[in-house]
Amino acid sequence: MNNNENRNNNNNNNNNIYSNQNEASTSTSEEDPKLKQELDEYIRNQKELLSSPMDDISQEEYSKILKEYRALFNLYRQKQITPEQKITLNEHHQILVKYQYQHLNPEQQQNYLLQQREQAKIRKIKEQQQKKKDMYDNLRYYAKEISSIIRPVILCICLSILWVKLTRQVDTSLITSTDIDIIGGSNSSGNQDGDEAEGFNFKGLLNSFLNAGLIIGNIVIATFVILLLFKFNCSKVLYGLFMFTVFMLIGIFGYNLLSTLIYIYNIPMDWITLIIFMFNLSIVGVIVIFWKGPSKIQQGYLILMSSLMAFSLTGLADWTTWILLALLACWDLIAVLCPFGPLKMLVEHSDNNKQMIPQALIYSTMIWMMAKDVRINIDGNSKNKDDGEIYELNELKQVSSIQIDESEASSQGSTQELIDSNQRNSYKEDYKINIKDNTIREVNEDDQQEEKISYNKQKAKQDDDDDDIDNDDTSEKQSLTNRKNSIKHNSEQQDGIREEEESNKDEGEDEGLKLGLGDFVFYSVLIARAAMHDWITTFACAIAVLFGLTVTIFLLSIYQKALPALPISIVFGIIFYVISSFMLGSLMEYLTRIPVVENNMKNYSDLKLDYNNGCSFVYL
Amino acid sequence: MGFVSYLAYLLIAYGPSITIFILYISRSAQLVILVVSSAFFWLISILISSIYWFIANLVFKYEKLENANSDKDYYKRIIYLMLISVLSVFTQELFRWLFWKLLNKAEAGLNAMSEKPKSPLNKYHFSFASGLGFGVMSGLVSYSTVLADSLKPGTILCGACPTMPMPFIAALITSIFVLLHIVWSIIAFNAFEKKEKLLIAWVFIGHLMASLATILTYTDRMKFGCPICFVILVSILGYTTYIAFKRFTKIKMA
Repeated sequence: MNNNENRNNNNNNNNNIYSNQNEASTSTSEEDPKLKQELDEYIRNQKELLSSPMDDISQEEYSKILKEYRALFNLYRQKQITPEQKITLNEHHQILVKYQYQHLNPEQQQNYLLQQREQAKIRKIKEQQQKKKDMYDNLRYYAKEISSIIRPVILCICLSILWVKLTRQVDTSLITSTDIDIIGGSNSSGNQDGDEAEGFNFKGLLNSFLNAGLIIGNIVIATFVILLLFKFNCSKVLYGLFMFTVFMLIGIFGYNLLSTLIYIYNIPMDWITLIIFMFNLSIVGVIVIFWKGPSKIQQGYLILMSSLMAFSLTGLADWTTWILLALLACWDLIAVLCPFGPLKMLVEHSDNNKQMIPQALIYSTMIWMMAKDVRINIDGNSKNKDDGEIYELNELKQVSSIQIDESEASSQGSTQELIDSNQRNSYKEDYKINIKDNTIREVNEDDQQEEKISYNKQKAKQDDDDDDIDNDDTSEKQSLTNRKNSIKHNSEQQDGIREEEESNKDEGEDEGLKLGLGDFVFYSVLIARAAMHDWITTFACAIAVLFGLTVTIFLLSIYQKALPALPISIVFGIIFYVISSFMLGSLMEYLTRIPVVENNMKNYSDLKLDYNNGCSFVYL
Repeated sequence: MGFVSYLAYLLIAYGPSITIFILYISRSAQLVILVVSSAFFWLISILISSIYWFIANLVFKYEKLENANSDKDYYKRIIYLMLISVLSVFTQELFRWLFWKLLNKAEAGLNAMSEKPKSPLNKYHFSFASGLGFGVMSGLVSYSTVLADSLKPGTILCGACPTMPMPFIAALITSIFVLLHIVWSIIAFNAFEKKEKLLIAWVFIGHLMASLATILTYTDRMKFGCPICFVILVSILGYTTYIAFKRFTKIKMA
C-alpha cells in the first residue's frame, strides 16, 4: 500500500543522492502539499479497507480471536514466531480492527482516521529523516574509506619519491631515463629519445608510442589470461602465478634498488649477503601476503611492492611514461565500464559464483581497488552461511530502516545499507528482488499491524501500550543490532582478509601486468616521474592525484558500482605536470632568485652577489 | 651544518602546519578531504597565475632583466614583481571564494558527516581546514625548492639583510603565511556568508599587503627592509587573528 510506495520512493532516492537530499530537505517542512496528498491517499485507502464488508462475528468469536491474537502477539514480541503464525496473526489483526472500526459511531470513526493520519505523518517524517540519515551515513562511510585509503597511497607515493631522490641525488647518470628500444632491440635510438625528450623528434615519439603500446598490450593480455583462469576455476594456477610474481617482484626489483643504492653510496657489502637478505625478504613477503601475518606488515609489504614496481617503471623515458599513463587510463575506462570489459566481467563472475571469492583471485587491477569490495564479500559470505538467516535478516533490516532511531543509525547501519544497495546493484538481481518483495509486503503488514494494535489497545490503556510497542521495537532493534554486530564482526574478520585481498589485487596487477601495477603503482609512477623533475611539480602532481582519488571515491558513492580509479587522477596529474613544469617552476624561480653558482664553484667568482640581483623570497 | 640547518628550516616553515595536521586534521575524515581539495583549489589558482606570468613573460621578456644591473632594470623588476603578486593575490582570493561556494553546497553533507552535526562550530572547523589546505599548499610550492637548495653547500644570504641566511628568512615568512591563510579563510568564509564587504576587503587588502611586503626582502636600498617586512606580516597576522577570534567567541556565547 502506501508504505510500498514509500519504499519505492526510498529506493529511487537511493539511486540518486542529490535528488534525495533535495527532497528530504524540502519535505521535512510541515505539511507541504506532497506530504498532504500522500497522507490523504493513505487515509482513503485505510478507510476503504476498514469499511469493506466482513463476516459478522459474534461477541464470543471476537473474544476468542482476541485471545489468540494476544498469544500470537506475545510470541511475536519474543521473536519466536513462525511465518505461518505470522500470517494468522495478520489475519486476526485485520479482523479485529475491522470489527472494532465498524462498531464505532461515525464521530469515533472520524477520530480514528484523524489519529491514523497523525501517526502516518509522524512515521513519514521519521522515514524521511531516516532516509536523509542513511544518505549521510553512506557519505560518512565513504569519507572514512577515503581517509583510510589515502594513507597507504600517500605512503606509497612517499616511498617512491624517496627511491627516486635517493638514487638521483648523487649520480644522475646511473638511473636517468635510457629508453631501451624494446622493439628494435637496440639501445641507441632509445638513448636519443631519453636524452632529448624536449626535442620533438618523430622517430623517438613513435618509438615511445610503440614501447607504451607494448606494455599496454602485455597488460591487456595478462588481464584476459587472468580472467580466463578465473572463469575456469584454475585457482591453483592463479595462486602459483601470484606467488611467483610477488616473490620475483620483491626479490629482483628490491635487489636492483639495493644494489644501486650500495653502488651510489659506496656501502661495503658483498652480493652473497645481499642475495640472502633479499631471499628472506621476499619469502617472508609471500608468506605474509598469501598465508597469514600481522595486517600492518602485510600492508607494508604491499606498499613496498608497489613502490618498487613504480620505481622500476621510472626507468622508462619521459614520453613513454606519459603515453603509457594516458593509454592506461583509457584501458582502465574500457576494462571497467564496457559491458565486455574484462575487469567488469571478472567482477560479475566473482559475484555470480560466490563459491570462489578466494582472496588471491580478487584481481582488481586498477579499478575499484579502492572500492574494496569488502561489502560484496560480506554479502557472499552471509549468503553462504545460511540462506534462511539472510532472509530473516533482510526482513529485519527492512523493519529497522523504518523504525530505527537516531542513536542506532550508526555506521553499522550504514554498512548494512550499503550491503543492501550493493545487493540491489549486483548481478543476482532477480533472486534478491524476489526476496525483497516478500519481505516488504510482510513488513508492511507488520507495520499496519502494530499501528492498529496500538489503536486497539488505546481504547483500553493508551500510553502504556505505546510504550510497550516501543519496547517491542527496541527489543527488535536490539536483536537487529546484535545481528549487525555479528555481521560487523564478520566483516572485521574479513578486514584482515581485505588487506590480503588488496594484496592480491596488487599482486594481481603485478601478476596480471607482468610489469606489475595497479592504482598505487601508476599513481606512484606519475609522481616519481614528477619527482625526477623538481619538488614543486612533485607536490602539484601528488595533490592532483589525491584529489582525483577523492573525486573517484565520491563518484563511487553516487554510482555504487565499480569505477576506474585511474582516469581522473591521471588526467589531473598530467595536466598539472605539464603546467607546473613549464610555468610554475620558472615563476617560483623568478620569485625566489637563488643564484646559480654550481658552474662557477671553482673560482668562487660568482658567489658574491650584486644586491640588486640579490636573493629574495617573494611570497604570493 | 647543512643538514642541521635544513632540519631547522623545515621545522620552522612547516612545523605549525604539521602539528595542526597530525593533532587535529588527521582525526576526522572530512577535514582531511577538505584539506586535500582546498589544496587542489589553491594549486589551480597558482597555476593560473603562473599562466599570467608566462604570457607576460612572452610580452615583456622578464628573463632578459636577470643579469642587468642598471637602476632602470631594477625598478622594472620590482614593478613586475608587484604586478605578479597583485594578479596572483586576486586569483587566490577568487579561488577562495569559489571554494567557499563549493563548500556551501556540500555543507549539509559535511555537517552530517561530522561528529556533532548541529554544532555551530562546524563551520569554523571547515574554514579552518580549508585555510590550512591553502596555507600548506602555498608553503610547499613556494618554499620547497629553497629548502631543498639549502642542503647544498654554501650559505645564501638574504638581499635585504646580509647577515641572515635567505632560507631562514624564507622559512619564517612561510610559516607566517601558513597561519595567515588559516585566519584569512576563517574570516573570509564567515564574511562571504554574511556578506560583510568590509571584512572581505580586509582579507584581500591584507593578503595584498603581506605579499607586497615580502618584496622588501629583495633589496638593500631600503634600510631595515627585512624587519619592516616582518613587522608588517606579524601585525597583519595579529590583527586578523584578533578579528577571527572575536567572532569565534561571539559564536560561542550565542
